[in-house]
Amino acid sequence: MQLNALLQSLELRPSAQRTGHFGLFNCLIIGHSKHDGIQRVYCDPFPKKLFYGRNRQDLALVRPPGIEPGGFVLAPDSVWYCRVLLLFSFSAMTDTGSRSFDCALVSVMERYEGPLASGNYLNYLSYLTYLTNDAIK
Amino acid sequence: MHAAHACLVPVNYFITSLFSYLQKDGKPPSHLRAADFRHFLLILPFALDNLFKEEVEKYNRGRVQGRPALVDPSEELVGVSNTFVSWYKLYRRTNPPKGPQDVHTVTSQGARLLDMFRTVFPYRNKKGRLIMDTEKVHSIKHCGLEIGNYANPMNTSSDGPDGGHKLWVKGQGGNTNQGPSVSFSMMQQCVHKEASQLLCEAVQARVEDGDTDEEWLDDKGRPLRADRWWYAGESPEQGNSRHGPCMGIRVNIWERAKTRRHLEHYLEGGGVNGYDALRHESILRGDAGKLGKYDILAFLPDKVARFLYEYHDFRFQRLDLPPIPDDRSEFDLHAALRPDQVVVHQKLFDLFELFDVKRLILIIVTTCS
Repeated sequence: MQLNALLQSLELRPSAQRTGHFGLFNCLIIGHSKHDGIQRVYCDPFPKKLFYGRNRQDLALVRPPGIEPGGFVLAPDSVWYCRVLLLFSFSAMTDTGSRSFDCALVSVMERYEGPLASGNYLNYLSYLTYLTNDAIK
Repeated sequence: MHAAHACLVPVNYFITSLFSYLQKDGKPPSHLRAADFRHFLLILPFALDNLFKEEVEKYNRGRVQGRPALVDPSEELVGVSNTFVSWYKLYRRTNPPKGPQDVHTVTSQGARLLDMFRTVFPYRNKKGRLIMDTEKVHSIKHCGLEIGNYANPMNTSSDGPDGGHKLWVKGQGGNTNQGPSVSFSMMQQCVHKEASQLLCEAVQARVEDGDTDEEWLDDKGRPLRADRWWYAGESPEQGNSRHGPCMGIRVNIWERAKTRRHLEHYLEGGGVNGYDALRHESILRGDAGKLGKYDILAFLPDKVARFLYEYHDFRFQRLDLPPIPDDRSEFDLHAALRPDQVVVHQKLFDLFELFDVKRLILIIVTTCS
């Protein structure tokens, strides 16, 4: 019920096409107040809206939150590996009025340790067994 | 004021202090309520009696010859206030209920009162309108019609909500920890609280970022360059080898991302509000209509609600959300709230993270452009 109440606080907004709660964008531009230039992160996930003929969803490394001041070391295992799934914006009616939120939905990629993981042949075989049994049934 | 007459309403210290306040500040004190003004209304005819007598006599004694003598307006003012009190008493009478004759009396008395206002107060303001030609005074003209439509005037009175608003919204500002010297309304307190929260977030970002001269190190403890390019290999012609190889990957500049508060972000594509918009009710099956099917959309409403709960719960105090403890190690945010309409496999759910773009602390885009 509380999730529904939070969703009810979302406001409808017009876009170039339709009116809805989530405004869709295809590019996040990251600028800097001291350095020139910008970075672009593209995200075009919809099958009927392609970016130069394909669905482009950029990869990004994200500095995880909660690191102590000055303690961040850039290393392969100190960042999160993400794929940008959606760039969107919405506004919600808060206690003090309407507030807009620009958001990025990303998938956090984690080390795969399942039965098909590299070198895990025993599990790989058992997985094949399951598939075979399913096929027989 | 000389209380020469036996007034049924006591002229106590409270009332005299009000007149002192009026004389000093030119307006009534803010703690006065509508009931207080009704109290003053009852003593108004007594207060007006011979109110200007001494001033008028003094003026007439010292007036230049040839100028007409002033007439004390106190009698007229008493007449106006008496008519007004008479009209008001009937207008607010609830028992016995007003009949058609009473409505007629209220209407005729109101018309007479407006005529008296025009003749006793013939003065105009800067806009050229009579000083008594205000919206509130004009409403006297229509009071008979309103009684005919809505019966008791209390049915259209906002005294209750007004008083409640004054007491519970405006007045409660003084009960906050801002101190009695800054008695903001609750609305102002909320705005200030939001501003404080934003300031705290900015300070927190500054603390997390450390000093602006913070050096980022690689996994061997060497400072990272602010270059846009890193090269694989060790040969000088391939680049500056002092900083080590980077597998030949084109890595974008982390110097820009070192200090979050210097980052600026914009969402682009399709105009100010985007190239399209989706309603949260219609995407629970991942169907984006003419944009096609995108399964991830099914998770979006739930993730957005949980994002608001986790990072912006203080903005939704009206929803009485469960409090989030400071130590979240043993607190399951996903279990704290349960949706009715969305059922998501928890393991799949954990794969997704929603970021406020401001929280994208470091994005190093590895694109093959």
